Amino acid sequence: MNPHVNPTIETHDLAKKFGRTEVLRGIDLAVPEGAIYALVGANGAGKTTMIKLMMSILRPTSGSATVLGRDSAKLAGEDFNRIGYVSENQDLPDGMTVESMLDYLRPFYPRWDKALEQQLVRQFDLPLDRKLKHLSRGMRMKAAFASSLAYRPTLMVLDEPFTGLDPLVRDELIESLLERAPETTIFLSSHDLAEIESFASHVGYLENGRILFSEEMAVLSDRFREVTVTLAAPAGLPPNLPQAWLLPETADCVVRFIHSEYRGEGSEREVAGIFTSARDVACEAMPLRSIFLAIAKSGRTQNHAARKTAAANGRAQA
Amino acid sequence: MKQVLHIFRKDTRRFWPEILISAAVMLAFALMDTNDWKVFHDQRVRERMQDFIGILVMLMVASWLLLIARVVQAETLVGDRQFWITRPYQWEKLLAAKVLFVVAWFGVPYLLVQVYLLAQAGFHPLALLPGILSTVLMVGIVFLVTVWSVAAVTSTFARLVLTVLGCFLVFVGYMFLTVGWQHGYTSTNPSANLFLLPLLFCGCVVVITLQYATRRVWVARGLLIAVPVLLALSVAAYRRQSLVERAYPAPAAGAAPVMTVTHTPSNHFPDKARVWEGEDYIDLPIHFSGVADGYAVITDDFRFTITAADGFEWTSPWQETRDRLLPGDHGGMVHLMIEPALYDRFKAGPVTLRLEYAVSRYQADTVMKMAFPTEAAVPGLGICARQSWGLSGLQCRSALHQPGLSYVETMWTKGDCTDTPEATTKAYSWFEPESAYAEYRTPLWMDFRLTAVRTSFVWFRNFEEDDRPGQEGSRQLCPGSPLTVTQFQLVDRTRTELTLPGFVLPAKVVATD
Repeated sequence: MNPHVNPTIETHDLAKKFGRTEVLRGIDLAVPEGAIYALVGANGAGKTTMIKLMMSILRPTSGSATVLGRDSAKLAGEDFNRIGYVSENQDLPDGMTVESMLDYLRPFYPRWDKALEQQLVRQFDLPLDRKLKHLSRGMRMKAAFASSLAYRPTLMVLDEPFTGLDPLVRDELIESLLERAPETTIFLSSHDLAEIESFASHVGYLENGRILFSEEMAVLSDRFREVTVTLAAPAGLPPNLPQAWLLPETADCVVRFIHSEYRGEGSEREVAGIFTSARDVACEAMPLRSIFLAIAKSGRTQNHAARKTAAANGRAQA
Repeated sequence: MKQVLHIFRKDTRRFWPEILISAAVMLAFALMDTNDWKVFHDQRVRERMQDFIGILVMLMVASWLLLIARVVQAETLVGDRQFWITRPYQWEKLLAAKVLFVVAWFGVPYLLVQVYLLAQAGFHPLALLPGILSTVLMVGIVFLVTVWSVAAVTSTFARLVLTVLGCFLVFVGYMFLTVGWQHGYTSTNPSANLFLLPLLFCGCVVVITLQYATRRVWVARGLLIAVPVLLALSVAAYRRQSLVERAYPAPAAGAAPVMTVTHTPSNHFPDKARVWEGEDYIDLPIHFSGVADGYAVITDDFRFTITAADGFEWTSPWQETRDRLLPGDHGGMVHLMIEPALYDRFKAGPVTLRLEYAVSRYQADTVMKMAFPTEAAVPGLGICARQSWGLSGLQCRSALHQPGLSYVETMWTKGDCTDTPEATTKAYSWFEPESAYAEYRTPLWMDFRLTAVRTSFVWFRNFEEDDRPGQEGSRQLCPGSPLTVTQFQLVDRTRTELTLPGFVLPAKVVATD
């Protein structure tokens, strides 16, 4: 991510509480212009809340978010001429037909492109005369996409847009997004890695209301390696392994771990320095899914360890 | 403006069934309400017709509720899933579009209904246009703005209806409690509660504006709850007894009293004490006199103070009473309510009883004499028709407001209304508008109803004649009889009193039934 480019979305220490429940904590992220940013996390991680804060649907408890240069809490009216928002949970004007919804929305947007609208209607095979309440989930999502893409928004924000859709519809929607990608920054949330891996340029991982990382996909892939060290003789794990080595495990003469700060030969030399009896060090690139699983597992392991330490300290003090 | 009209057109297209229902009910109301001022010779027909109008009024109010709720909740302000909140809506324009919708589909049809009713009643609607607009505006403030504010903080029609029902129950509970607290004593509101409508309007408008501007539902709901609390406080404040004393000052030293009250027990009407619903009552026959020529006096409240020989004293709260007095002598009875324990405390020996009246003094403004009409305009009363079923009287219709305080005199004819009647006797009646009564005391701008044509009845009586046997049913009001209408204007409010030293409380009579 180039820090010198003005980000389309930027958050600083963003937090949201519902009563005593802390849903988001200290979120700092930046989405550069033109990016396809995927916010990934398990159900309940806080993705929807994060998006609602960005869209001024909810107000932050503390911190701030800036969207297209505007404080997100002040987004209103004409600001939405440049923002498209589609959510799996959105209530559409069900009493309207697809055509009447498009007719109704058109005059709101000075940049509405009628030709693009017609192209999207054809591309999605939308039944113009059907009421939205009579459409299938996939068709409703397509109608929502068409009504949001037709005015060529600068930013598209999508909350779990592909959840529950069949692969064909999902591919159609992704294709339509990618066609706009050069001119539109896309921010979407998903709990399914597979569906965003193929097209996202940036990824953020949200767990229990915290951003664990937020960076470019290519950088992330380069940073993570699955390291297998073959030793001359069976040995235990040495103490004080670097923190960047996640989920270390050993079996006979083989030690495996995930290197989360891999830097080529330098990292391999570092491994060889710690395992002096190593006969072989193999560093393999990892698929995105494995990276996320490793991060998630190591996070849980660390949390578990931290809880155990805190409990032990508490007992000692008592 | 483009966005305003665009949203308005969308709402109109979407809610045409609701608009149609509301317009149809209003039309039915307009057609039926013209019967309200027709003279019926059968009281049962009139009652059935009024029941039907009552049902139409309820339907009309329900159709407005539906119309407002649907249009406001089309872009619901509650929740975080509405599609419109992430579209380029400007809240001021959205609000303006909804106002335009209400004006177009409630305001204009309702205005036309009022114009139609006034025209049918024989009035000139154009000459009354400011008043008609004021009526429409007032109904808008009292009903629509209130419903709108509730619709703005609820997400569905069902929740809106439940909230309205809840508010109604709370209101009933409040009334029940406040009546209970008053312990049987109710005084008049000496002056109109001028805060009531502005408070309701401003409170609701703040809630609506806040919701459209910020969609802070819980803040708006909190404010909306505060509005009825403030209204209740305002009502309670206006029921304070101290306000009666302030509104009815004691006459200046040396000033002639506006009337005289004397205690006049007799063998026929002695002082009495009785028990009723757990309270003791002392009934005192009294006599009013001394009202100056050209004036009338109306008693609004009274209170009494009893002082025992040992110095123990008790003063009752102000209580409502209603005696309408012209120059001359008038007999009456005052009922003093007292707790049994106090009665027992005072009954032992002679006490000093002081009776104070809070009175309003009126001056005769215009006196109009004419022949009793079959149907004609009677200055001061409106367009009046002879009403001959049951009690004889005049049924009058007036535009926008009821007539002011008036005293009406005519003659009853015994036998047929022929050129040579058997005998004639005097008949008279006071007419007091509802707005003059304690519970409804309102200035003119707050005196409005759903219909711009107000119907009033002037029932004639003659207590002296009524007491004679065989009078009822044998006399009637004949067209052409002399009719005198005297209108009165309020001059001032003051107090007058009667002190009875050495008064002995009468022994209690226990009712056998």
